[in-house]
Amino acid sequence: MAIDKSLLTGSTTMLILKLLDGQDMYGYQMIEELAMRSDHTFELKAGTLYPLLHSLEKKELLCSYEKDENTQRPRRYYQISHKGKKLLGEKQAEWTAYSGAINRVMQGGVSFANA
Amino acid sequence: MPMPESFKEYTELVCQQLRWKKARSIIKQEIEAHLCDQRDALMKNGMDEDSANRESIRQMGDAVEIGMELDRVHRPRPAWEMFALTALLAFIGIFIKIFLTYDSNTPMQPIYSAVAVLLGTGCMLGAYFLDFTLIGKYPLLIYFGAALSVVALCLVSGQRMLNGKYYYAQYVLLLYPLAFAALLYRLHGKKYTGLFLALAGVGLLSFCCFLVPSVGGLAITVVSALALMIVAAAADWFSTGRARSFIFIGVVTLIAAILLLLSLMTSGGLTARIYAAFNPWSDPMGAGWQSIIVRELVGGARFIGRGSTGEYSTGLSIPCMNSDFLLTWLIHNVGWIAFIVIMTIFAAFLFCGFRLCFKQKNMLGKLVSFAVMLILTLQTISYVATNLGFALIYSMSLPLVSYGNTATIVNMALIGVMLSTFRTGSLVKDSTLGHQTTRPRRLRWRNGELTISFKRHIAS
Repeated sequence: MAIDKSLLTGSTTMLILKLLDGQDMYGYQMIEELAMRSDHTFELKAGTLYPLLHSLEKKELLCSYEKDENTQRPRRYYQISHKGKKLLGEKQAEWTAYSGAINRVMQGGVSFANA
Repeated sequence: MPMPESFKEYTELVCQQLRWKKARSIIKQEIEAHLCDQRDALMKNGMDEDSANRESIRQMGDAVEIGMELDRVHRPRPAWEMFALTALLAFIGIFIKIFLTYDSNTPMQPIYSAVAVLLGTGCMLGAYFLDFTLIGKYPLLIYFGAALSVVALCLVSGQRMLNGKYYYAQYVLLLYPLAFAALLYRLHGKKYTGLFLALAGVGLLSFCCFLVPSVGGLAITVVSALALMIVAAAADWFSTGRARSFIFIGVVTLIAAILLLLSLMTSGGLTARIYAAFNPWSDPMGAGWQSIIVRELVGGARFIGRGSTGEYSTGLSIPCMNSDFLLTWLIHNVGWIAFIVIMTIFAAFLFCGFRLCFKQKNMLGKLVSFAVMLILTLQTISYVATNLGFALIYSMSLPLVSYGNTATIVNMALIGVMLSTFRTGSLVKDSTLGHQTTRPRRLRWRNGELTISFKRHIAS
């Protein structure tokens, strides 16, 4: 099923932080992992990912380091910071409240409009 | 597999959109690695090389658009608050010299000071725009250059000394913590050899301090070196493990303290100086006379306005009062308010400076910025202590504020180096500076097997 891209836009930061909460990853690995975990629902473009990663690093939500893994060129790994973990917690709570509310409305829950 | 031209052209186009050239190399490396990963994955799924190259670029997106997005993220970050506080301190210094401590016997002094601030500003801006990573590229040149220049200045000066010191050589000592930071940077991953070489490094610089001779320079060098070694050990810079590095530094500090104590017990002059610092009345006509006058003036000071003088300070005055004891002069003649204002600005400067030091992501930026902040902090502490009547170590100047034109120029140049690390430090990665990374060994002997590595080390 095709998903409206705008639904992903606002949540990309949260998804990236969540991915890195489990382990340190490099850019390409994040795209692959996100696609795999979402059954290819979220296909993040590299052109979107790198500016976002660099901006999150600048905000000190992530930090990066190089790792030489016997490949031809060293890879830049990203690691979630303490500040990033804190923001992830807030974003997750926000998302749970928001998605819960959407689900309740969509599943015919209490509608204040008709009250 | 070699990188195709199309990948290089693509990353070039991305990088061309970035106005800050320093950011380009890191981005180039990351985008190229991504394209190669993508290409390899596609080929693993059965695609031929040419198609995989084209598809990787297509999936990456528009190069100009990505470049522009990255350009928005990567901009140099000048530490404006540090610029403002530096300018404020230099302005206060000039104001005091022109309007408060002006002496008609030396009418040109304020003008010389203003010229020194102008020259210092030039040096500061020069150092600010100069690439501070040069320190990481030529650490030994910087270290030995600083050490040997003091020796050379002492030799060239011959018998010409001022107050028992080689005048210009003492100002080079202000560069010693920075030179030591460069040496420490070079000792990355050298384990215990690195720790011992660092000690030898402090030893050589201390020896040069004795040549001048300058107790103040020695104190700044040794205390800064100790602090910088702690910073390096906290990051396990020597690869011995943090705890082992800390234990090593602790043991060495303890031994040095015991040796210092023993030398003090056998040196009458030094013991008298220390005793006089705590109790100047023990030697009112010798080592303690300046401190007695200072303590009387400070004790009789008012919050605002001129204070009273005491038994000693009524008839006597300290030579060079408005340069070496500027704060005492201000406390006595203007009141504690002047001291509080100046110290508040210094506190803000030190707080902002150290906060930015801790934020440095790479070791070179961290060591360099800490070295400069330590130089400025230790000068300030010893100057303030002397000006409040605790004259253990005399400072060359109160940075940027008191007289000491050469010191002003050197201090401003050092601030420029520090501001340069704050400006571009976020993009400097220790591994991109080349020599200090632990390169794979070409020859390795293990369990009776000789391994020869033909792999090329790829520099970014």
